[in-house]
Amino acid sequence: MEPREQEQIRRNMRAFEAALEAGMTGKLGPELPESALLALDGSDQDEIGLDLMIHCVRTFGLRVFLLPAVPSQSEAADPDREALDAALRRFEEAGLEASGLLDASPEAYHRFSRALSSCEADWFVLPCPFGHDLGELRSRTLGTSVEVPLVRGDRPILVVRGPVVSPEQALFHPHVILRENLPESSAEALRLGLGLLASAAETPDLRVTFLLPEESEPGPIHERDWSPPDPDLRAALGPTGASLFHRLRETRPDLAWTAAVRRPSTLHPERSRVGGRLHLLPAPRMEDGVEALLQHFLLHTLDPVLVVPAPQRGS
Amino acid sequence: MSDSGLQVLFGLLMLLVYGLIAFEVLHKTVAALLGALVLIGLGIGFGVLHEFEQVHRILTHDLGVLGVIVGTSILVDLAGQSGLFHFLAIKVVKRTGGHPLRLFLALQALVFVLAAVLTIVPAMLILAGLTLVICKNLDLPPTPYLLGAAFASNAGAFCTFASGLPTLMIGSAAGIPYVQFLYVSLPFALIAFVVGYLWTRRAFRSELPSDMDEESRATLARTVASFDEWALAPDRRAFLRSAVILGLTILCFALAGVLHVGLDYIAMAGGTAMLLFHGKSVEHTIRKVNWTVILFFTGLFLIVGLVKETGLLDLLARSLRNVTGDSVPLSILLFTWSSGVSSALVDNIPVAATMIPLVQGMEGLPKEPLWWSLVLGCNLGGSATPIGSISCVIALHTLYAESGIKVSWGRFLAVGGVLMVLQLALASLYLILHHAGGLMPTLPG
Repeated sequence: MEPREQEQIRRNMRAFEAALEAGMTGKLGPELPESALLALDGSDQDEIGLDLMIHCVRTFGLRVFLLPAVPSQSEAADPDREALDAALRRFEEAGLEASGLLDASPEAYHRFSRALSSCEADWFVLPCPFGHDLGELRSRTLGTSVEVPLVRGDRPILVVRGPVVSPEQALFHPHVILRENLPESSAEALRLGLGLLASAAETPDLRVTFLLPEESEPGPIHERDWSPPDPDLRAALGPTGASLFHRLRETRPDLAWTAAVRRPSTLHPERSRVGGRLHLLPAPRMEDGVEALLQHFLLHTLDPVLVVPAPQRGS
Repeated sequence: MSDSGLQVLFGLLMLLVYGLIAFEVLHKTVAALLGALVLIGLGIGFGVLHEFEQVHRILTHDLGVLGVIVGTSILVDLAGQSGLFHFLAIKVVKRTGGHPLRLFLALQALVFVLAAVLTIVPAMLILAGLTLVICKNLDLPPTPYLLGAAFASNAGAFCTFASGLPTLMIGSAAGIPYVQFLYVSLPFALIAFVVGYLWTRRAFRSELPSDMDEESRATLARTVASFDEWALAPDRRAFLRSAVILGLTILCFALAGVLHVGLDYIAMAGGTAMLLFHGKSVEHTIRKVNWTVILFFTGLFLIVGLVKETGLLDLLARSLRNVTGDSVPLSILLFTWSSGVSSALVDNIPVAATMIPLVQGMEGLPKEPLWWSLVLGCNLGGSATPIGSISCVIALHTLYAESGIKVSWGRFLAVGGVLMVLQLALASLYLILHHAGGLMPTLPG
């Protein structure tokens, strides 16, 4: 038997496995969260997170839980209570409701772990870097309080970075990244992106980046944006990307969307755009800390990023 | 050197090359090219070849076969890239609902059809990958499914003129029209398939799950239903174009006689149409043509042609003719079983290449039954041993490399060896009855 025949069998196996996994991710029906847990750290990012959540409550009736975890170096007598009261007032002023959760654990990441276990919120919203106590390290690390929930990864986590131009702009012009080697979380990210688009009052605007494996050969498909994406693009994608491309067009034939193809080393968030888009980034299961690609992306963008793990099977 | 001395020398060198191929001492292409070069040198040195141009004339006889291989390689490669065959494979598997026995039949039927259209190697490469993924996800034992597919592909390899390389060689040498395969070999291919299915189902009955509860059945059905066949067909335009071009090429193969062109012309036309309309890189596609096989054939055709020049093969044919006398049934038995058993031990391509001149040398007997004996024998013999056919080699190698399962010669012979005996016995009977009943079409010319 020739080595190239053996390689062909392996390629066929990978293709059939991808076809099976792509199918297992189910239909591409739009999906929206019903509830979210917003962590507050007393920083400017609290305001950004609150703006986003208030907009979500108004648009699709999200239930919001507020969890203060202000760093102990704060000068306030009860910084957690103050941060929570301020947040609740914002909701009241907007004519909306939210629930507060208080936890006496000294470390923020302990509070988050406990809250994630006890609270059934669909999304977890986190300011980042949490607590503003990282100094120069903030450009190189996300901090334990952010990393622990990311690694635990049992639900989407919205990481709030810099200021947003407007909540509508950020939420309803999503940028979904579809990773070839993560069919399930990619499908989930696309479902959430479609859910946000379905609630958008204005003209939906979806941007999709197909992330091919690093070893894929760079070619003409990587060099331009596709608007509208056409079958030539689909032909250049792997099984996961091709399947999602096909199902996106079948689910929303009316949708005008744009696409790009990247490899991990060429996936650069747009630093100059502040809060322009919500990025939906699929994440793998992480046992040895935050994945390098995810960390790099989060550290190099000021946009909000929704990190989407694979949905739990059977849930 | 005397004529008989040359015949012995060239015959032994041919057997040496076959031995090098059978025992994988050298890559088969290198062995065939080396053998050809040595025999050409000896042929010129000992006066077997009167002029070097004779070498070109030997090859000219077989240019048609090489043309079909090049054309169909391009056709099959580009159609494969469009996802057409993967799409069909997943569709068929989904229809089984994951039921183990239905799956057993479906995979065999699928590889039978794919081998008939694509030839054995591409069919088995697709099926081996699919079978392992399905067995892993459904928790089924892969051995019965892969071996069953290997046997079924051997039956599919003589459905039509272009279904298998030995079939193509014999069909070209005999000048059998494409449609005659539909009258003679296709019906028996179906019989051989059914016999193979029934036998393997019986032989593997202890390994194939038959009873299962509702919950397990539902789980299997859900898993199989999850396959997204469109995930592997990235471009619908290319997909449809591939299906149309492939369909038209098969139709034109059947109409070759009416169109007064050779099958190589049609294969090259199909390949060119695919290059023109598929939109893939031409350079890349042409590089993927199986040049290894083409060079192997070139070497082999030269070896057999040079041995023939010594008169050895005519001598063997006359000896066989003396054994069979004027009995057609005896000739059928002789060619079916000798080609079958030889194909079980050596690659069936050299067997076909060597047996073709023998049939040509059987003067005074109707050639049609002998050609068909060769077609059926060369293809069915490969099921007997682990090295008998490329489909069995692929199945066993894949089982070991991807699942760590080693199938012993004894176990293989107990299934494949018995199957070969069953199928060859039925093939002999089928051809004898076909001939006796006057159902065998006469060859043109």
